Order: sequence, then structure tokens, then C-alpha cells
Amino acid sequence: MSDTENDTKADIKPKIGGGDGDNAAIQLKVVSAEGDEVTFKIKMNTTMGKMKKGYADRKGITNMGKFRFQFDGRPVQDAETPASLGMEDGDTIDVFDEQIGG
Amino acid sequence: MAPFFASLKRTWTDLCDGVKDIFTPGTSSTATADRGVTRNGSANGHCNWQEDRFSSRSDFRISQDQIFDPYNFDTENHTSPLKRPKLNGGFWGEQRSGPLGGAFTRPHEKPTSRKPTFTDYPAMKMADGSRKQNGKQQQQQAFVVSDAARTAAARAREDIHRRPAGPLPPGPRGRSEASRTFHSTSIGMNWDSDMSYNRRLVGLTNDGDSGAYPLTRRNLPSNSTFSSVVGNGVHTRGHSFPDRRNTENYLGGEENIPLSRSSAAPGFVSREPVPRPPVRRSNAPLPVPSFDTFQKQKQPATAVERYDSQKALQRRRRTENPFEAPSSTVHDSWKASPFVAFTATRIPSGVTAEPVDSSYSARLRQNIAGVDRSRVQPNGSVARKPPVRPATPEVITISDSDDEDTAAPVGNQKPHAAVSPTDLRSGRIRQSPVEKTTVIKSGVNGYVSPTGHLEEYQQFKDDPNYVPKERQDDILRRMKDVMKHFQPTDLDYIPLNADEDQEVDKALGPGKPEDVLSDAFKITIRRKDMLTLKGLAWLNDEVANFFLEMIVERSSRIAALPKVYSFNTFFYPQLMNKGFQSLKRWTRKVDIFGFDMIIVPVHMHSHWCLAVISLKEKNIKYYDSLGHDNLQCFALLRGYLEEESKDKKKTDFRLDWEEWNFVSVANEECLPQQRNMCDCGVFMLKFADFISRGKALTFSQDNMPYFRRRIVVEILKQKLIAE
Repeated sequence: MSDTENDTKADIKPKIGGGDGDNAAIQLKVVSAEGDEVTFKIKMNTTMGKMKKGYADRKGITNMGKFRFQFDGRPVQDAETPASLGMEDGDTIDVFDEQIGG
Repeated sequence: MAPFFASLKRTWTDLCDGVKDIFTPGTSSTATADRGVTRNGSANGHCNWQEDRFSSRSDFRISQDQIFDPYNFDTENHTSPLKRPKLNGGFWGEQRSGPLGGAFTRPHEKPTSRKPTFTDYPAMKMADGSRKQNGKQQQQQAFVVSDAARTAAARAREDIHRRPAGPLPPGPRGRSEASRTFHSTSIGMNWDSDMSYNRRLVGLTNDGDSGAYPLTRRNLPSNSTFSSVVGNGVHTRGHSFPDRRNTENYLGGEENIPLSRSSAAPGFVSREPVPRPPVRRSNAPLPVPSFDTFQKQKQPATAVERYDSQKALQRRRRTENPFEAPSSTVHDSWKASPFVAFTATRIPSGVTAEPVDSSYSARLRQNIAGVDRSRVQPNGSVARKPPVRPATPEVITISDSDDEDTAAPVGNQKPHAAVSPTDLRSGRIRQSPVEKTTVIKSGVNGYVSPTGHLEEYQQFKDDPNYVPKERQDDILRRMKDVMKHFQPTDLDYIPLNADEDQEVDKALGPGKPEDVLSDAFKITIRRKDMLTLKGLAWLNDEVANFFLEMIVERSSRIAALPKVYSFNTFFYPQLMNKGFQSLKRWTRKVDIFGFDMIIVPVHMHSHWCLAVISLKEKNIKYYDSLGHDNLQCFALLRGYLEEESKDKKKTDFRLDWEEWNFVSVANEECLPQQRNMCDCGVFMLKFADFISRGKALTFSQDNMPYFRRRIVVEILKQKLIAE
């Protein structure tokens, strides 16, 4: 992981949600097929859609339909949260490009 | 070079003189030899068209289509309305230079500056009028035409002159053979055998084609065989042109140019490869299938099955009709064709062996006289086997027509003594008396009926749909045979109903790309995803994963089906790029070794394939609708299974590999293949669909448009149709 990504980590971190309580933040790694990693700090009840948006912003992806999040081989939907997915601190989300074929 | 090109312009005279020079080597240096010795060596060889050609050069601006118009010929005189000489070019048909010769060069076009060879211009007239000959020309002059060859050629010429006007009778060689010869010998100049140049034939070889291939300028594309024939038997007899008469007209058939009939060796093979004639393309619109496209008849999957089914068909037919002639391929295709079978008239094999009078009237006679009539049994059934023909046919012909051509035949059709199958089966071969068939030609609607059916005929003669009784049985029997080929529609190919069609149109129709059309299995199918099923679009991973999830769901729901687990489309790239460690958690909650088969969609850059691990049958099969194999896939999946077994079950899976098979199905069996570059996704999904039910892969490219729409329906309903 590069230094710049560490530096920008704070910016990507979603700023929603108030108190800590049961809404503790965890760190998630988003790993692309090429091996690029982006680390997110995300609260347990934050939707994955926001994280996707953050990833797209980070990577400069404009079309949200062009990549997929997969967590343990299962697709990650926008409405899901780390809590609903049973994520733990340090878990890895795989990001894949859209596959088309003929 | 200027004199050289100046001489090019007068190529024609050069050529004529050059040809003559070759025959008269001693006088070659004189520009104007006596015209009495002509290029063809005949007494009347002073061909008018030489002068005509030369003088009418300025008149050449005439539509070539007009010249070659095949519908504009004077069929009486076998000449074109336009003067034939205009067709002929120079020595190689190119008094205007160019690959197609002068006759085919547009007047306004600049002649190509191809360097002429000695074969083009045997002798060059220099600017000062003298003759320049290169070494090769002098070598050519060394050819000595033997007296025998000359006399043979002359005899042949006289023979030709004596021939009556009109089409020549068919030559000794068959048409096909002649066509082949015409092709393979490639029509060069035959210097060796006949030096008389008595004939030049410039034209197209439309091999085996019908006469409906007019030789127009439009039909002279670069890939057509443009042939120059000088001399010999290549073109004289049985040439590839089906219509001798037209050929005469097309190919410079001046009557004063004698036609050689010498049977000399064919011309040498051209130095340049002769391209095949263009494939005829019909201008007719594509046939519209009259059956429902989706009602696909079931096809045997493998070649072995096809063979077996064909054999079974033959066996069945032998059993049912033991006296039928042994079926041929043609006959079987005739049986299999539902469209022909109704109307085809079966001609007994004995009849076709007769010497064929191929004239139209003869064929007409053969048809209308009713070959099947003679085999009608007294009880109305039709004997299947053409029985032994009696030695003396007795046919009484009554015709109310004066026309000789359409009168009923006397010797052409012979009645057959009919043998009933039942008689034969019981062991009593009863030769039924030779029926006296009376043929009556009616002027009403041309229908011909034998006497035995006169009453019936009188009754129904005005009915256009009248079918005689014995013919009805025949038709019914054939219909039964035909209907056997139509399987009852199974769920794999069941057509979508009207509601489903409407849903599909709506889903694939206009709308926002982000509209959610279906949401299940944690996969959201939006309109933009669904549109990858439209037309020839490439399928994307959402559709594929959704469909595979439906397969897994169906297999888990229905106990009779094999237990199927499916990885998603990202499994294989992940395995390829990152190995097992990144996949360890993917099967956290599932034991893949508890399934009968594991479906692994394989996405290779832009191509969908399928790998199926069958834990029950202990094999890994790879299905590629483009027919490739993928050894890397086998290795990766082997490695994955080993690691997975070690990781989850703590057992060494490697011990089992000896029993396992790794099959690239496209290599080993008959696998449906895509015929375009966009349906591989559909093929992949349908492979998975069929395999997960243990069905044979009976579909083909033709089913793909239907499958696409069907998948749309299934995604919308979140349930597979076939269960």
C-alpha cells in the first residue's frame, strides 16, 4: 500500500453516523484483481453503496455499473451494511470489473 | 520507349502479322506478307473481322452489356445483333491492353501499362516498320508444325464446317468431365499441338452452371475465370457452357472461323492460378421458415447417435415395407423432408434405369402418364416394390390431342406386374395380369386418369384438390413418416406465450437503464443488464450469475435433479490471478464435495465458457462453444480441489486423480457451437442449464434468439421454465 493511499484514508472515511456506541468503525480492504488495495474505515451500519461510491471516487470511476464488490464470493449489494454481511475488522472485499463476453 | 508504345496502339495488326510470322518463319521480317496465308491457315482465312476490328476501333464506345446481352440474340442465326468481331480482342483478347482484354476495357480508361510478354505480342513492329524479335520469339519460331497435325486440324475444320446449324449433339465427354477439363487445364495456349490458331475462345468458365449466367460486363469480376483458349479440343466439345448456341455467340462464334475438333492434348496449365468462378448467389429473398422457429425438432447429440438414429430409421422402414427398394441417402432425405414428402412422386428404380429421353416432352410424358398407376393393386393399395417388367409392354394409348409431343408414350412407360406384399409374405407369389393402362389426355385440366378410375375421375374432375384413392393411402403413409420426426414439444424449447413475449418486449424495450427489473439471490438485474440479452449483445456477469443461481436453486428444490453447486463468474479469474488462498473463504459455509456437480463459469477476457466438475462421475468437462480446449483450466481446478480438500476436509484429494477424466467436450463429443461471436454467453448458460438436468445438449445456434428471450422471462420470473 502506498503512502498516498494512507494519507487519503481519512478523506474517504464516511462522515455519517453520530456516536460510536454499537456503531463502531471497522477497517475494510478493497482489493482489485490487479492487487491494488484501498483501505476504508467504515461504520458497521453504513451502507455498502456509500463505500462503493467512495471507491469509485477514489479510483476515478464514473460508471458505477462497471465494477462489482464481492465479499467471500458473494455479491455485495448497495443496501447492505458490514453488520448485515457479518464483516469483521480487517476483512477483504474483492472488487472485479464487469465481465462481458461473446 | 516511345516507338514501343506507338506500336502498342497498333497491336492488332501486329498480332495478326505476328501470328502469321510464326507460321511462316522465313518471311517473318516482311511486314505485309500475303494475306492468303492466314492465321488459321485455311483458304478463306482472310477474316473479315480483322479488318473490321481495325476499322471499327473508334466505334467501340458501345455498351458492353448491350453486346453481351444474352436475351438479345438472334437464335435463328446464332449471331449477336451486334457484330461478333467487336467482341474479339487481339491475340489474347487485348488489343487494348489490360487483364481482361480489350473487349472488356472501358474505352475511356487508360490502358494499363503492363509490360507485354512475347506471348502477347509475338512480333513487334518497330517505328521504322521493321520487325523486332526477341530471343524467345525466335525460339517459338523453331516450333515446327507437323504435317500430320496440320492435316488433322484441317480435317477437323472441314468437319466443323459441315456441321448443321443449331446446337451440337452432346459430345463424347460428359458435361461434368468437360467442365473439369475446362477448368483444370486452365486454358493456356497450346503451342505444342496445334499451331493453327484457328479458334480463339474468350470467355468465362461457369462450371456446371446453367445458362442463366449471362456473360455481361457485370459478370466479369476479378475473381472470375477469364480464359483464352487457342486451338484445341478444350473448348470444342462438351465445354462447360451448357448452351452451345449461346456459347457460340458469346465466344466469338463466327462461322467463317473454323472450329477445331482435334483431340489433341489439353492446353498447358496456366502459369497463373485460375480462380474459381464466383459462387452463384440467388437474388431471391431468404426463405421464410413456415414452421415455428422455436419448435425445434430434437436432434441427436453426437455423431454416433445420429448414425444410430438413421440406421434405426432404415431398419424401421425395412420392417414396415420389406419390399421397398433399399433406401439411399437421397431417399432418406426425401423421407425426412416434410415439405417434399407430401408432393414427391416416387419413381420406381426400374424406370430410371431406362435410356433417358431427356427432352422436356418426354419428361412431361413420364410424369403425366403416372408411373405409380401401373402398380395399383386391385384392392386399391400400391405395390411398394417395382416388380419385374414384362417383356412385351402392352400400352394402349388414346389421345385426343394432335400434338405429338404431349401424346402419351408408347415405349417410354411400361406397366409393371404388381406383386402384393401380402402375397409375398404368405409365400405365394402371384403375378397379377398385366394391366392394360389406357391413358386419356383431357383437355379440361390436363389431368390424366387410367380407365380404372374413370368414374371417379368423371366425378371429381372439376375438383382441383382431387386426389385419387390409392394416392390418398400413399400420402397418409408419408404424413405418418413425416410426423415421426416431430417430437412433442418439451420444456426445453417450449415457445413463450403471449404474456411472456409481452414481458420480454417490455423488459428489453425503452426505459431507464437503472430500472430494477429483477432482484433475487443478492443480484440486482437492472435494465442495462437485461439489455445484454437483447439481439446480439454480449452477456454480462450479472445475468450469468443470476441464471446460475437459478440453476442452483432449482437443483436444491427438486430432489430428482443432481445436486448442483455453482461458483460465480468471478471465481475463475480469482483462481487464475490469486490462487487458492484468496478463495479459501468463498466456500466457508458450503461443502462443495457434497454436491454431484460443480459448475464453474469460465470467463476468458471476452469469452464465456463452462467447466463442470462432476464429483459423482469423477470428471471435469470443459464446454467451449467456440471449440477450444483449456488445459490450464483443468490444472487450476485440479489444484483447487486438492487445496480445498486439504483445507476443508483434511484429506488428500490427489489420491483420487487416477480415476478422473478431463474432457474438453468440443474435442471429444459433438458440442453445439456458436456461429457468431456474440452468443457464447447464452451457450454457456444453456450448457449449464442442460447439464444440470442431465440432458443432452440438443440445441444449436438456431435456438439462441429464442434462448435469449427465454432467459429474460426466467430472470423476470426468477425461476427457470424447465424443471
